[in-house]
Amino acid sequence: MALVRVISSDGAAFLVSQRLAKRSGKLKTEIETFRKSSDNSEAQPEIRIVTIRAEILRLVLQWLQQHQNDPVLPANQNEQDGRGDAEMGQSQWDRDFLAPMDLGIVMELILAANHLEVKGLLDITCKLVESKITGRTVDEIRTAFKLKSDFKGNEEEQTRLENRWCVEN
Amino acid sequence: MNFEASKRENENTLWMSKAGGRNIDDFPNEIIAIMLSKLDVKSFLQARGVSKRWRNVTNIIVYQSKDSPIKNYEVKLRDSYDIDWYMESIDKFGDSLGSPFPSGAACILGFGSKYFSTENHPYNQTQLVAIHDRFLTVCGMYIEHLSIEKMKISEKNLLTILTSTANLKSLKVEGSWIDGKPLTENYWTMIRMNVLQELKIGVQILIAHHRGSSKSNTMVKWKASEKNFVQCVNRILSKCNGKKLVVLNVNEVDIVSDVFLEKKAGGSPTTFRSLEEEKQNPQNSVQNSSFYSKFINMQTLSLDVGSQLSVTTTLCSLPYSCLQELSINYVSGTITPHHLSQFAKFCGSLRLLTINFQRCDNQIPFQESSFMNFRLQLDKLQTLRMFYFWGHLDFVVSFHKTLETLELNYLEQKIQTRFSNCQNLFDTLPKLHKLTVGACTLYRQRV
Repeated sequence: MALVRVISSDGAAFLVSQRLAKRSGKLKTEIETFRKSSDNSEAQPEIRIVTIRAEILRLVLQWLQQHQNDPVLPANQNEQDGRGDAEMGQSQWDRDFLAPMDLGIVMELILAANHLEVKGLLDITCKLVESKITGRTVDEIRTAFKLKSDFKGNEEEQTRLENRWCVEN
Repeated sequence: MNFEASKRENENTLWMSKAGGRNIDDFPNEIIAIMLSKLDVKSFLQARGVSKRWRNVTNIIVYQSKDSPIKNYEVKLRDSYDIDWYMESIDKFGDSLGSPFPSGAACILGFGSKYFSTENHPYNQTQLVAIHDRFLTVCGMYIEHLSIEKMKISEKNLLTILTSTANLKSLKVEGSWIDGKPLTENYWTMIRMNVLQELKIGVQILIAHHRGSSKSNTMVKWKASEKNFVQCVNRILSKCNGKKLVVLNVNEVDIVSDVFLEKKAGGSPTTFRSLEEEKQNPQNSVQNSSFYSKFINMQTLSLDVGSQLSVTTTLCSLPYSCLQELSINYVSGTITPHHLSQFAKFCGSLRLLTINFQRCDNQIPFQESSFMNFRLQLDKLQTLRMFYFWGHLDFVVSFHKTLETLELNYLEQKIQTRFSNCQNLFDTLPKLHKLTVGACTLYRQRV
């Protein structure tokens, strides 16, 4: 079985099958680039991901392992036909996978999924954040995500006025 | 705070307390857009109010995504607004570039003052298509003055404009080509003009005779466009609520064609053919007039209709009981002495009359007694402008009771002789205070 060595930003190495790694758009491209540039077809590719630390990379690979038999979603599927994670549904395994994570980990996982082009993982993690926004007021959203208003003057009042047609009815 | 809200806040606090160093602000816009675009409409609008960045992202979603959360709410959005609210918002906040919602939609030039023009829009046309489709659908009902000039917009956008503007008070249409195709009457079947007060139509048809194409082909095209123009005018006028239309300005069909110029030198066979057709089929104009008989409050009428005889005949025979200003620009035999007598009969309230004979090939019919009827019926005329007329001007003295301004341009020698002593005109017309003959203007001397 062909393997690939994926190295995190903090130096931890993960040895995974190329079949599994190719479920990530980014890793697939890197493997193909390595193959083209390497004279030895038997050489083991080594890919360094400088933006993802080991704990997060492990979670991504764990998720890929679990979903290795799922169909690969194109990166722009939502725009193409309007189907996304809602139609796929979120499995119990996914819910258990995300449940113990705190916001910081989820945030990092989202960035990692986006960087590695893992559409399914990006969808379920975004869905989790989305659920923290749904039904909240502006202040509640700011509190939940530690955000500060940067509106100046009466810009916030203007936005509130623009939203009045729906929010206040 | 109720129990549910309290519980929710606790959950958030717990979740946040475990958060690491990462913040949602670290995300690139496209990820935030993925999250926000799936929200329900209320949550989506709440998210707009979180920060400037989130507001910009939501705007991008509305403009660029086919499945934005407000996609199915445009009717509700439109129904929820009232103009006072909108105007209050404009007064308070002014323009807000990029907002897809009405109180920020003043980025559309002049929208705050209820004007919309495709010609003077600050954006290029690509942006116009991207932004205004949605904008016009939502708030086109507030546009009162619409100017569509030279048709730089796409067909799709034109249709959006035509179907969105429900409170139009003035409409100006210039140019007949859109996306390389002539504008047909079908475009105007959907426009709502129940409260239209002012209509200016200048459908310019430009047909150049290209090398390689036969002259007969060019003529066929021209005739097709000419017919098309009449149909457009008919369609628009038939949609108007005639009782409210007070200004109608129909501008010329401007034809630039080698073929046309050659034909014109020897008289325009097309025009004469139209005249003959009109005489042979008087019923057509009767049918058309049923469209127009409603314009009983028309105050200003300007006709420069080229050879569009069917339009002219109809417009000349309406009961304009309120008409105060009339401008006629002659082309060939478009308007006959019969038309003038029709006007005189129906225009008892006329205060300003402008007649331009510059492009009239044959003035002989007007040199007889065409204008003599005027003295009987135009007894309120205050301003008379006669351009390039070389017939008798005796009839002018008939307006001695009311005429205050008289402009006579391009006078022939014999007319100059007749009025060699302009002071006589001041004596004959006691209310005349301004007399223009050619480039010279005289004012009544105060004693």
